[in-house]
Amino acid sequence: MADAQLRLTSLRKSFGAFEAIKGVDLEVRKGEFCALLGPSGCGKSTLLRLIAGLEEPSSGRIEIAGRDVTMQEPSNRQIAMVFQSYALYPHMSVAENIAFSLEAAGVAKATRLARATEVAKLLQLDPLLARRPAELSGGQRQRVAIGRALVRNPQVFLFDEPLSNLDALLRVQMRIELSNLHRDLGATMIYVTHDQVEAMTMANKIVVMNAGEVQQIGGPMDLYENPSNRFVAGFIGNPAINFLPGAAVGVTAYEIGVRPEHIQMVPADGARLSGTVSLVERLGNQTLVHVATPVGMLCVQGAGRLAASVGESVGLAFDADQALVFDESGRRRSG
Amino acid sequence: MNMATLALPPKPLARQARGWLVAAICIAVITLMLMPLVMSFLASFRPLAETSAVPPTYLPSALSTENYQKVANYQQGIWTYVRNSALVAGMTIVLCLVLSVPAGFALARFPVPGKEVWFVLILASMMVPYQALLVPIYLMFAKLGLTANHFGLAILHTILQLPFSVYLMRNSFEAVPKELEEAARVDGASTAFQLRRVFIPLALPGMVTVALFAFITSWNEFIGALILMNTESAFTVPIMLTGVVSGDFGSVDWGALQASVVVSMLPCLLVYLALQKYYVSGLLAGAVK
Repeated sequence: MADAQLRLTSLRKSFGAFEAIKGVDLEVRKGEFCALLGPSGCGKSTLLRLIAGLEEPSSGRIEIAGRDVTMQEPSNRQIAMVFQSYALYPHMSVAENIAFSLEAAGVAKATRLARATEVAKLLQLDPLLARRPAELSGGQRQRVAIGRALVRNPQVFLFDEPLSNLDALLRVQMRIELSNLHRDLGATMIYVTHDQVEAMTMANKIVVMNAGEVQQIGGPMDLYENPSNRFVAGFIGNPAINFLPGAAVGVTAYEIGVRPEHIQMVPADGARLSGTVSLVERLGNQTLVHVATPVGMLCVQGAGRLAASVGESVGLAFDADQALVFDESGRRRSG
Repeated sequence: MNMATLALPPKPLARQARGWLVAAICIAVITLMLMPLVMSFLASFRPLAETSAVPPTYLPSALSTENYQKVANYQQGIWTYVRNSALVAGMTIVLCLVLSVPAGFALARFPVPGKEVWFVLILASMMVPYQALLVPIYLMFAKLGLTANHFGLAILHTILQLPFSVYLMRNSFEAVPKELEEAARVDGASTAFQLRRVFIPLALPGMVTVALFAFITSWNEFIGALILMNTESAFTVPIMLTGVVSGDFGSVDWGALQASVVVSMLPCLLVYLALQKYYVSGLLAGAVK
């Protein structure tokens, strides 16, 4: 594809005997917000570091904006990176931090300051230009780290779990800010996260990874509605999908997955599947009911105040069309 | 709302007692450390006649600067020796920093082959008592024309101080978070630029410590200076002080000795007080997290 801003081909990385990245192929188009999503230790951060040039691949190829950068230094890749820990230079002011890459490139001081001020305005950091990182709040530090990336005008932005150090409220706010920034700049962004909410809300392309392999690539709702295997089905969605053996519910399949919102509680008499309510979680706008059944604990999600009390016997029903069917190897079967 | 002030219940006795015990131990230790210094200081102001009185008196009956005058006017005058010492100490500091900063940086941040072996080797040289090295070093320096030379003495002091300096600098550079280095690499900073703009400012407390220790070592070092320096005008303070305290027929001039102790201690104290604020950690606050 001509407009692929980032292309990875058979990318592999081993640390000694441990294979962290087992052959990843990926294409990210210009302007896309691509999230690398997976549990910790799945290799998503390693993949990002390979793209950044902070790790050298064992084999494979990395192209950025049509240029092979596999063996290039990070600084020659036209990328900018925002680190999980922000990695601000503590002895420098906000302005110096933002302008650091320009200073390293030998840009004159006046030009540096002008560019830093421009970027700081964009991020509402302009009143803080003279401050040191220690004098900033977590959210402000995060913005400085983003500013340092912006000032480089990179082809690709790399984010390594940038919101994981922020408290929940600030995280939601920064999520919106990052989405706006992405829209305003039309920039290509690669975003590593273990938080599916971040991936689902910000990205238009999600790469789900597990154990060094890409499990599935797709849009947020695509992954939710059509997971290609058991892992993706289980990882995407909160509360998590219920897995039950096909035989238990009279389906000719090894295993089926039913989302909590697709299960209804019905009278216990005559229901194919029944159990005892063991926990009721009321979240205000919705209720989660955990039911102990012969095939394990199942979660039912309903809007508002679902009538259920602990110890009550209930029957469970769901529409077979909404169930996801998996074979022995965990692959999704259609139908 | 009606809010009455609620008095706190008294602290449990055990907790109070522990506080007192800790305070008592602190005071005891401080007294132990300070006593000799206070005694020296007081004794240095005793008139000549009182200094060797038996039994000794602790508080001087009259204040006298006789001892200080003797020290100040000894041979070339104290300022010559202070100048020599300061010159040697200054050069030692510069040499130590110039060598230990790159060495520490390389050991901390580069994949030097066998670097742990090199590092242990550097540290192992601290095990050898340096007095044992003085003769070979003297012979070597004599061939190189470095004897009776302040630069030569500074090199000797650097040799003594370098292993510890490298050790300190390595630790300082290792304390800089890896992400800062990576951020700088992504930002296009060369290694030299990283060192100058990121690492050195952050390792400054370590460098100050290296400088401080180099100064103290060089300022107090006696036997090396005695062996290398052969003209009276080139002597450093410790050598001059041993001259000043020897009285007639091998007796010891106690008053001059106490004054010498005070005089030789002062610069160390001043340098330490001047630099101690750089000791304060927290320079890295706000870097990560």
